[in-house]
Amino acid sequence: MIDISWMTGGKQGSGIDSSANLFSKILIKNGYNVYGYREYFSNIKGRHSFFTIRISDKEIHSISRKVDLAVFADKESVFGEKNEHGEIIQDGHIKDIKEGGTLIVDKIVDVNQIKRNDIKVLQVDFDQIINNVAKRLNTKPSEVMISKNTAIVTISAYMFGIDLNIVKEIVRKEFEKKGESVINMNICTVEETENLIKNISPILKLDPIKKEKMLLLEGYQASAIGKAIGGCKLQIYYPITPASDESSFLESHPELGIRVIQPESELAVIGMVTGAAIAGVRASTSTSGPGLALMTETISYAGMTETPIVVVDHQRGGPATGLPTRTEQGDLQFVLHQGHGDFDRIVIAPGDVEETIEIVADAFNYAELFQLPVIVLGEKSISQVYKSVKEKYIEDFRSSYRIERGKLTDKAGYEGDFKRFEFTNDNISPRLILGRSDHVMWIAGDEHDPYGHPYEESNNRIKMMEKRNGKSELILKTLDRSKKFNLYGSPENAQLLIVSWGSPKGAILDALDDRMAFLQIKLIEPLDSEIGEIIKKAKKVVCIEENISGQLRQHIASRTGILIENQILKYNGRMMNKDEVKEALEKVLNGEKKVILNDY
Amino acid sequence: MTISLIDLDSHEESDWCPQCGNSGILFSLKNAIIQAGLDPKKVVDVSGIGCSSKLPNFINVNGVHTLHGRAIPFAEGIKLANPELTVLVNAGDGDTYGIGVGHFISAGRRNVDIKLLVHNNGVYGLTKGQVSPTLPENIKVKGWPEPNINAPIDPLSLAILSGYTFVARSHSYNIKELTEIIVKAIKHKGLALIDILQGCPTYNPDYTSPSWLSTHTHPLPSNYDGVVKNPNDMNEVNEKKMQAIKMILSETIEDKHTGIFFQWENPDTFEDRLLKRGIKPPIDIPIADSEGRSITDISKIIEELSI
Repeated sequence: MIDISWMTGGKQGSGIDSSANLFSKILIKNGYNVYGYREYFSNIKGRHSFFTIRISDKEIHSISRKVDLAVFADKESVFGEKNEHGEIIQDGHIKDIKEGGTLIVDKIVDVNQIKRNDIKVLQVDFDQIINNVAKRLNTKPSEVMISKNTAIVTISAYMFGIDLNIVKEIVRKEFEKKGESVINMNICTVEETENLIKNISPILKLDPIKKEKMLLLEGYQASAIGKAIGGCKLQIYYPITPASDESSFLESHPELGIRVIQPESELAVIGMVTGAAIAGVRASTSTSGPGLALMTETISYAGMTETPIVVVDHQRGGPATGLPTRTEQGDLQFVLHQGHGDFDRIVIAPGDVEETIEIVADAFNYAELFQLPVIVLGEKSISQVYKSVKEKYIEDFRSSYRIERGKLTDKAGYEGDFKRFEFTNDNISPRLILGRSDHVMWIAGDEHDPYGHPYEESNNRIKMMEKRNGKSELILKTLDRSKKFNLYGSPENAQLLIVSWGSPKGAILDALDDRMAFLQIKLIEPLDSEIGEIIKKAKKVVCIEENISGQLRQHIASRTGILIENQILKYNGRMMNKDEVKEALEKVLNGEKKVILNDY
Repeated sequence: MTISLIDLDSHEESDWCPQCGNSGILFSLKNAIIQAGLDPKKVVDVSGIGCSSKLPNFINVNGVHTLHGRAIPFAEGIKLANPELTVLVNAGDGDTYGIGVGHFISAGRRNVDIKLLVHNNGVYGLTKGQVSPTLPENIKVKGWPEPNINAPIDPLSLAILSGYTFVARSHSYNIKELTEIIVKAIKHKGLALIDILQGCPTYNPDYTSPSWLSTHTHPLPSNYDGVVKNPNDMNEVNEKKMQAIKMILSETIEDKHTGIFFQWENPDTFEDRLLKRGIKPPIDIPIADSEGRSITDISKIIEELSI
């Protein structure tokens, strides 16, 4: 089995992202699976960002702690940087190279300072590559400086023994829209790089393997695709990292027929979404913690008025502005309780890029079937993950998915005023499409009678409260088990049952062995009672989360009365990798009750 | 289809105070809906919170009673979803010019085709008489112990500078004029503000009584014409805006005008701008076939992401 990792880094704005993107495509073209992730500062230009890609011929779900090959064209990526107080801004990547791995640096780097005898250090003269390209194209080196990224990609592909003709093919496709001169500059760069490094021996040979058709998909694109499949026709958003990518992707695809609107604030966003949903169309927003916080009052309104809205929270590090470009699972307890007063809601969380498509599309059905707000908890460590995904996966999901609009209708079926909040056996009432029926409809955020008019009578209040807070049973009865959770292995036989949600799924799957079972919860609210049954069967249980307070653990305790004894937590804002999770699981098996992770 | 006032009665009885100006606004609105020939089922009245915002419950059109300050975005969302609806907003001065003032200003950037009927009585009525954003400085109202320490907002100038294309004022006891203005606002293509000086007999009787309002307001001078004649002539548009703002600045609390201060037909509404991008109204795009299969075309995305 091939399982190798790669890294590059550099100043933000210098094109590191496009290097990684390009390299991922080359690897996928050769038939390999990739799992890529970017770490970056809340900054546009100048700060250090880096990109890790794990590569395999098998299915992979996470990144690794250390890499086999790192290629850097700047000094800071190697040695790190300090600020004027002498505090570490970032500590460089020398430590991130695997024993026996290879580090390729620019000629300007003093290799004597690297001080690792267990790795191979090579130097490449990036300036010479640039000068050679400039000479060939009869232009100034500054004009071709940007193709340093292509040089990084070429070196990387060469070191992995990839046919450079495939690199050229992908380069051509990548720069197709930018015109012949840009293509030419990059092809020249591939050739000049090859000329300079052809005496170095590659570290391995990644032969092309036959593979079904793959996509390179990022989590935010998956969320957008889920919305498109789910029939969302209005996406309202306010700029926020790391959520805006999704809206910008949707707006760049007008063929979807989705109106993408950016109003003045998150308060306006959620008002527009709720208004549109009342009018009878599928509407949504994507945001992150601070934006979601601002939407709180209207989430409560959607609960009160039983309005189907879908909100995707691409979580980042909190509280307050927190860590805008880093990851965290810090919003779970917030969304479980978001909004004043009591009302039922659905909280669902995908564990990876593929599940994001499915869960986001399903969210629109749930919202309309059960007439309540649905919060999808994404994470930066899903929305900004690059992953090779089978095209067939999306096709299969799309063809199996059915749009279900519940009790939305254009006919009341009776004379007299329409009862939008009619009491029914299943606590779900008919909804009209505004302006498309023979009735008018009233909605009120005040406590209301079945007609939707404010009404304070006590018996009505009791019945309405029970209606809005009585949907869980229907939800749990309606949804298939496969929509609620994934269970890997046998909890009763395993030495350890891992319970988790969201992005830790990937690292857990890659760290899992025969001694363990894994319960990934997707439907977090309402929580199925079977979750409690599964946990009870296990000999030993650990809850893995990317937050400090163990928010899922608290939720499970509040719903089942079971407080999971062991915890693995990470709250440094960085994504979990398989190696640290594997080590932590070993520690838990050996009796440690709480393990805090701190990689990268 | 002809409808009468009775058809526009809802089964709810109004619970406003006797002589509340809101009753005049409700009556004028019903008249206007009839005169404009609207189908009540295609009309949506969106409201905020407060006495003003109870109005949708007392009229037999679609009613969406929202949150304090948020009526405008709800209304915009409804209009964006289904532009065939006539979307009205009934909200108070606290709602629109206080907690929701960001939405009030920003709506002007989009010229969404919705009509704002702002019940402006200088106080927060339903919370028992606190001072509102339009109450002049140093005025003391019945429900608050001290005179107002804040200077007032000027909603009409603000609307004009923000991009509203129909800006008018009337008062709640002048049914004839208010009805006419509402009809014109409904017929106007674009974002309209009618600032309605509204009687609050309970908390601001001194400055909003029928007699105060009828003696301290008078129609705009007969030689004043707020309507832009050549909609493509930006000089004329700007002159008409200046004219309106000058008129507003010349007013005092004891001497206010009613009528249409500014009206500019023809600039693109938000719907026009979206249609130019080729994106149809959401309500008109089918999302599923007869068996519920998703019919949104994602083939271009797949092609773009495919390696």
